[in-house]
Amino acid sequence: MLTRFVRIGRRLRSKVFLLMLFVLLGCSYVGPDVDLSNQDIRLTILHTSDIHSRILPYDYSPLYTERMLGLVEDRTPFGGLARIATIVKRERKKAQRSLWVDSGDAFQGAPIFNVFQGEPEIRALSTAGLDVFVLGNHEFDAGPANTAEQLSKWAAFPVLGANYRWDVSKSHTAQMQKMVQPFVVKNIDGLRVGIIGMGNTSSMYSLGEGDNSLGVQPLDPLQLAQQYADTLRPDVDVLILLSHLGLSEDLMLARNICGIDVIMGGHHHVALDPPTVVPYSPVKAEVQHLENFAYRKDCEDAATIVSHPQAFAKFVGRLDLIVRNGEIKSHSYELIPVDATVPDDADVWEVLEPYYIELTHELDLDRVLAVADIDLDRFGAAGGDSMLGNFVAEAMQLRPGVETDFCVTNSLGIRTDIQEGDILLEHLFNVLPFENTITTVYMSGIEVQEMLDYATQRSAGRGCSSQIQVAGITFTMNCRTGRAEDILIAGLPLNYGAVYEMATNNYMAWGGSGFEMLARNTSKVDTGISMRAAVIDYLSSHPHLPSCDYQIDDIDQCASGFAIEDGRIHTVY
Amino acid sequence: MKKIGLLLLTSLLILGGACSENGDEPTGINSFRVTIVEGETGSNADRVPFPEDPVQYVLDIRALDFDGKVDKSYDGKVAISVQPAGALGEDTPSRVAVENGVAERVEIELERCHGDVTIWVEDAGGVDTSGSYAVGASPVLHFAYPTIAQMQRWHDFESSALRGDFVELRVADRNVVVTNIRRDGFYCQDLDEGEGEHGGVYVYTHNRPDGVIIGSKLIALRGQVSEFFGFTELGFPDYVAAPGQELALPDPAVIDASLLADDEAMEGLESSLVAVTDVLVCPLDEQYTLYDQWPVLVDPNGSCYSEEGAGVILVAETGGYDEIDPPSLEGTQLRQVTGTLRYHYLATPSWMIIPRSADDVR
Repeated sequence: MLTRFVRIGRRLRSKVFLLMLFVLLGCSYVGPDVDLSNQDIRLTILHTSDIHSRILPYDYSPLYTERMLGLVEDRTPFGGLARIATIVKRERKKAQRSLWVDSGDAFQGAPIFNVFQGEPEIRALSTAGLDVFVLGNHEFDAGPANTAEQLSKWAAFPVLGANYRWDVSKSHTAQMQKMVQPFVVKNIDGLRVGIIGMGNTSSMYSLGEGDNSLGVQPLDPLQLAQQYADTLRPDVDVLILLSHLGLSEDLMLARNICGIDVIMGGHHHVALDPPTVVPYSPVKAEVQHLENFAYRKDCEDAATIVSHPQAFAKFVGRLDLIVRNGEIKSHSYELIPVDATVPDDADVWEVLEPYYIELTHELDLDRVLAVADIDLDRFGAAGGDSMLGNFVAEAMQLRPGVETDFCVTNSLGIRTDIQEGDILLEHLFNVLPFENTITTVYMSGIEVQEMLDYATQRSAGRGCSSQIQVAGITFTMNCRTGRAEDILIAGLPLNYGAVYEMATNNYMAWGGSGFEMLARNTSKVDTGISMRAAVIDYLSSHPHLPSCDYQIDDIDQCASGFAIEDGRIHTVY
Repeated sequence: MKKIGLLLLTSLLILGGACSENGDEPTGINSFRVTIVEGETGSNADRVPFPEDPVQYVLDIRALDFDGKVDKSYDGKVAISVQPAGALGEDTPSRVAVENGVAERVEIELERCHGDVTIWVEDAGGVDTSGSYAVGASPVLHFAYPTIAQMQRWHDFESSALRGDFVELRVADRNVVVTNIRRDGFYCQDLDEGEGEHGGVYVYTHNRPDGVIIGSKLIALRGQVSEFFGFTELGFPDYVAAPGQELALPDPAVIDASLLADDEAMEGLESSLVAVTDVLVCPLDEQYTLYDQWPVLVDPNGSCYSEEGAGVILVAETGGYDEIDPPSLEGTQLRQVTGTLRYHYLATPSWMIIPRSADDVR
């Protein structure tokens, strides 16, 4: 992958440089004639990320860590773009020079996206006055043509993605190439602010239909960002990298790049409050693939501020910088909750209201499907199987017309917990927002071992928190050895010579999350049955969850369908 | 060549829209000039000691217009703060009057400052008036990076002095050793601190940490200080271990019944290596089923069933050790349990020992 990045980087170099130079010349004559030299100038950057279609307020019980960040339990419902617009307007009034940037993944995660495919998200962001947006991986969840259509029709803001190379032989990607810019330079009352955009690369599996039919090739963000930084830096006062690369990648860039002041990131749904400050300290292993890398003495004492504002429209980040003569002198940060105390902005609500009305007509979102007697978690307490994961996997495995030996589904396909109380149809859209279908596949025992070994290794790199949820199968996930051990299917030891039928989702079946052994398998059959529909049907026969008191009853006495953690995946770490 | 021409034309068109202009001539104040009249500023090489007690500074403040001249028409109360870390002393007013564009010899006190900080002056308006939100920052004050103990120690012993801060810790010239590695982080301890002097901290890495083993000597450590159910953690960390350099682990601090009953003294041992000896394994309850925590009775005169878990400490996170089967240990005596000390205010009792391996339970 790295060598491919290098080759592309070499090819791009001259064009990129010329393009940037031209762009800067194009910018240099505009802007007010204000001499800001030798003065402390304040720049306020408002930041959202991973809104995930939570553009209408939603009920939610904040986690402990979220309460520590300022979410107050009885101020539900949270989120909503009309409220974000109110906060942005209010904070802009309390700023000298301001900018609102969004780090992507505005799409996917609430039923409004399933019905309208992102149109209200982009329209509302435009009306709310978003200044700059970078593409996230979930912008492509309804297909790349939809991304191009929604953005070209409704976006009133620049869309960035410097590290995507578009295959212009396809009409939608040609459209994206025209629309997506590598960076912008804003002149805010004499303060020149450069913003480079970097879209996601680590979740490229999820682009398109699992086979990367998106028509985009990711480019090495490190090499590109340094090139852009070198060219833009002399002509801007502040240089921002707007990123949907993810936290670890953002930190890697911050360590290794000279010249970027701030990275405003997203993708991992974390809040950095306060922001992390990363000194320039290149790491040999991370830069060795770069052609002619040299340590930059001029950045010896430099540092980059890295900021992430969490997700699901729960917060707006506010970063204030004091800039003097093109250098950041100081910064302060605040994370502002988007809760019931914030009124709706009338202009944005006017945009959203018709969608809301149509949505409630189209889907009976308040329909009660069942009752959760306690919170149903999507991650297991000990890192293995989870209450919600077990229930979803069972619903898929036992669905009439599927009925396989066992089921494996990816944990991150289950996007949120179910909280105690009525389980509404709306909650099911939040838990399972993707339009995934159940796919069946025949596998030998050896292939099952290979798949579970891979899942174990992937989980080991994530705190030994299982990246899969299962039904009909149990095993020990040994994160020390990276091996799946003691595998039992229907209570019997795995037989390498036997053939098993597995249910999974179409994302994994086509190689998503790195399950390439499934992508290779030619026996796949997409049943066309929606995962969400299977779970809704399964709930109809389980009106109360968990339907067995796992603290009192012997777990062995509980049959399937009880939404309990029952040790299907035993973790060793 | 045609392609490049097209590229340039496209970029010109794109950027025509990307650059913006605001043609109004700005008026009023644009910024503040903040100078330090008295007080140590230090330098990168010679830093001001970490102020555990308030330290005094005297400032001059001038409101500047867009030409960089003092705006004598400006009268108002400006907000004072210290950024990005630290606090004003209790007796320092958060607002200061500026008259005719000037405030001279403004006395303030700072505390809990670390790393590079600046004093901010801001025209934030008042209850009935909106401000210009112009700011000014003092020259950088170079404070020393705190040790683990300076970060942890605080008059409210249940919290830490730097809670909520992003902090770079002073480890390079001290002997800070990794004492225990877990699936989501590691414990480290400053060997230059005395026993029970707040020398330990948990570094939360989310995943199993790379680049460290038990015994690693840390030479860089920074992250966000947070309290997780009363337990101090360094989150979103960045750390470096000295290559190939290992330190001997400290002897564990022995916790007896009287120490266990003293929360303040126990707090001084949080995240340090500790041990309990000759303990009875109490009956397991739902804390074992749900959270992999099992109680042992430390107080030989106490009871497994005492109120609030008095005399009892939990042993936790042993589920990954096949050699340890807590249900089979119920009612038996253990000679010693060693591990790092953790706290969770919702657990009963709240203190727990995290063994490093099965060998730590004997």
